[in-house]
Amino acid sequence: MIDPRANNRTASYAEEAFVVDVQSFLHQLMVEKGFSRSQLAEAMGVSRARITQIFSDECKNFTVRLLARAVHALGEYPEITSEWHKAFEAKCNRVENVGALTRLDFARSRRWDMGVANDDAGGFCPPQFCGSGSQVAAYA
Amino acid sequence: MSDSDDDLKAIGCCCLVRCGKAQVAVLSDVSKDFSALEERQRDRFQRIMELWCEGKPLTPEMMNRNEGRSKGNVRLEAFKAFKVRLYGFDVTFKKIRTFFIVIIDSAKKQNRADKNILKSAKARVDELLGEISND
Repeated sequence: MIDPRANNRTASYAEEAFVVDVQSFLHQLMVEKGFSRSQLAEAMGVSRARITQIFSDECKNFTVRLLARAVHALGEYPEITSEWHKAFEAKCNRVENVGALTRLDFARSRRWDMGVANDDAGGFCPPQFCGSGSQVAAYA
Repeated sequence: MSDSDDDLKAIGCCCLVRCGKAQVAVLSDVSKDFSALEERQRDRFQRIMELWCEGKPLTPEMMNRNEGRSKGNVRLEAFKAFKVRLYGFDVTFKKIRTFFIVIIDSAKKQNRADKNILKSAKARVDELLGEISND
């Protein structure tokens, strides 16, 4: 089990930082794609007040489903990643390149279980969020 | 302590966030007000400031780009989170893009800015800018 205390950032920071990153990301996408908040609300099929809620400090009731709908409405496809996952993907790609193992074999060899590597002593890395085809990588 | 920290200390400020070639600094006597904020408030501000340093876009809920101008014609801006405002201004200090926080309004109960605090903030902006020019 990864110990979240190994990270030098607090859980509170991880939570607040991710909320800020998602809000900044959506804001930038809206600006780039020329969407007003009212237009986004209409495209998502939600009320204007719901969009205001998404961008508020409290950011209450902003579900993963709603995030996916917002990104889709802006013509993008959401992806989620983390530092660990990016490193893992890079390792997998290297393994594939030498043809020694398939990606699945490599994952099994690392006892990769339900998205968590339980054999790593590495610290907690906050998630990152980006939209495919977008230049934005909030939390660089 | 880095040269940048020494430069800030010389004008009575300390660094809150530094990323790349930008930083957010605060007047030393105001920094205790920042420390006194709730953890989640500090954490949200921390990330907003990091994005500001990285040149990432901030929503109107995160930053008000125009809170008026000081007598010295400096534009006052504010980082915002949970009804707390960090008033300051943006200037290049020792070749580093710097946002100087001059006053913190942590008792904001309404959406409109407190006129007295705004007035104090504008006076402090001109005062600090004088220090920067003399440095």
